[in-house]
Amino acid sequence: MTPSADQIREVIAQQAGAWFVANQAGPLDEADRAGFVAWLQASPIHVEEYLGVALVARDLPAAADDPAVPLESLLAQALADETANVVRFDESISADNLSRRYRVSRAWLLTASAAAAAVFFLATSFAWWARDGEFLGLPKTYRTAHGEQLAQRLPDGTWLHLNTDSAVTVHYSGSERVVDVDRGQANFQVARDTRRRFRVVAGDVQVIALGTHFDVYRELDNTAVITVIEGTVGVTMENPRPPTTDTVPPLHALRVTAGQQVRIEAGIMPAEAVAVNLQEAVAWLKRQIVFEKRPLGEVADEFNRYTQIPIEIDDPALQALAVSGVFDAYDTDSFARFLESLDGVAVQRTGTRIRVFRSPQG
Amino acid sequence: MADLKKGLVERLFAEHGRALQAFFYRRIRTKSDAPDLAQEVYVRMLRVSDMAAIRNPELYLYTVASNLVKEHAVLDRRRASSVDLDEATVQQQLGELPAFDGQLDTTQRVTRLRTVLAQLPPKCRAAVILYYRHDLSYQEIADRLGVSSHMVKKYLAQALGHCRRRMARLG
Repeated sequence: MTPSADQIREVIAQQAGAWFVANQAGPLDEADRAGFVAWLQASPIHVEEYLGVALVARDLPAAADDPAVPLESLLAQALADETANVVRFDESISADNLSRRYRVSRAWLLTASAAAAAVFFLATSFAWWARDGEFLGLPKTYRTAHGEQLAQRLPDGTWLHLNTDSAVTVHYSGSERVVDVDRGQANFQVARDTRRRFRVVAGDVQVIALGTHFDVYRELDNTAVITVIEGTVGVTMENPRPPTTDTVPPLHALRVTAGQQVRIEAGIMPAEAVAVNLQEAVAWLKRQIVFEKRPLGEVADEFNRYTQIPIEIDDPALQALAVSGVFDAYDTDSFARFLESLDGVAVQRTGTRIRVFRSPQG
Repeated sequence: MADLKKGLVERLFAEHGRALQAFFYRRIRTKSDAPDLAQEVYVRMLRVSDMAAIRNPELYLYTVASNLVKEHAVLDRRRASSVDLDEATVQQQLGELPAFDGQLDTTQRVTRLRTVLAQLPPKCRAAVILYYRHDLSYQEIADRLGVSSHMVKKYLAQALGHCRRRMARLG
């Protein structure tokens, strides 16, 4: 495993541990149950880590019952130790920027032995820890590298799924929940909170929601694509009025309801949203690419969002060829084999690319 | 409820435990371990159109995993011999299967887990010992450690995640 894959596993195992403890504490309430299901359905790795945690938990009573470890000395150690657990164990490793922040702080703490500094650090760490950054109103960035995905529960219970090559910054305050899509694609299952509206900013485009489930894709050319899976959102290019008790979307906003999509290209807001194939639009959540009669060029671009070995198609006629299928987003090879099976299409693989061209006899 | 869950977990990890423990504790998985259990459990969970209707997703997860392991055990046995084996015999034979390569028996696993526990920060470790050895409640542990019960849950969650990864790496 590469270090980053290992780091991701680590994060997922921590999330699995948190869900396991939540389940252990009693039946989950409706919101948590939905969150847990969404988490399990986000990736097979989540399923694997959860079962792995359950196996560890089964062995823990035997392992904890160790006569070589007297409880008194363990408790004495625990009570004497005020810093180590805070520094070494932060749940925020899920946001790698935050863990970097911790490492910096820790190094600083070690060099500066001033007690006052330590107290300050402890206090801020606890605040971070307790409210996941929300307490201090500090923004927090989540990002994924090429080929990675991330499922993250935000402090209000909203589920954030990040697709490959994406970054969002979360700013929560007492009056509003704001998420900036810095780049790429994010999916939100918004926890209902009638006091604080939920607003997503993708460049010039604003998406305002109450409790709902929707997807925002900020493409490289700044085109924003908003797809609504459940409920309704308002999409606008205007800066919204400051949040008040009034959490309804602004009047001028384009209403987009479940099963609809709106595409804002070159800063032009279309007059109305269009119906869309939801299965296709959110297939990435299942790490799938679904396409129906789409030009091969577009489909190849879609695969190239995930793969290390890009697919290259130079022939315009081939790029326009309509294809249909359902593929694992991370299995470019199967897709290449599928292309090979088509009449008149040939595929050449090298270590760094997959070239698709018209076969001579075709 | 708690008994039902315990029963399912036991069924999953004890009856079919050998293959499963090999699966979860092996560091390097080769292509020959074709049935990737987690992947299959995952696919089956995706097939349910309305997961919201499932009252207890955790129990459902264990049930799916446990059925899957059972199916595989039956299939493997059938493939291995032409004799049609009923379930009870299959399970008995499964219990008698020799150890896989790289598989740990319970004693070895517990010993390793103790080593991993010793690496935890003191409060986190104390929370684990008080919970799993002394059966104290979150609040009782919180009082002894001078932290909130919310924090105790966090310690336990982090300890589980940490142990899981270290055990997988030691695999």
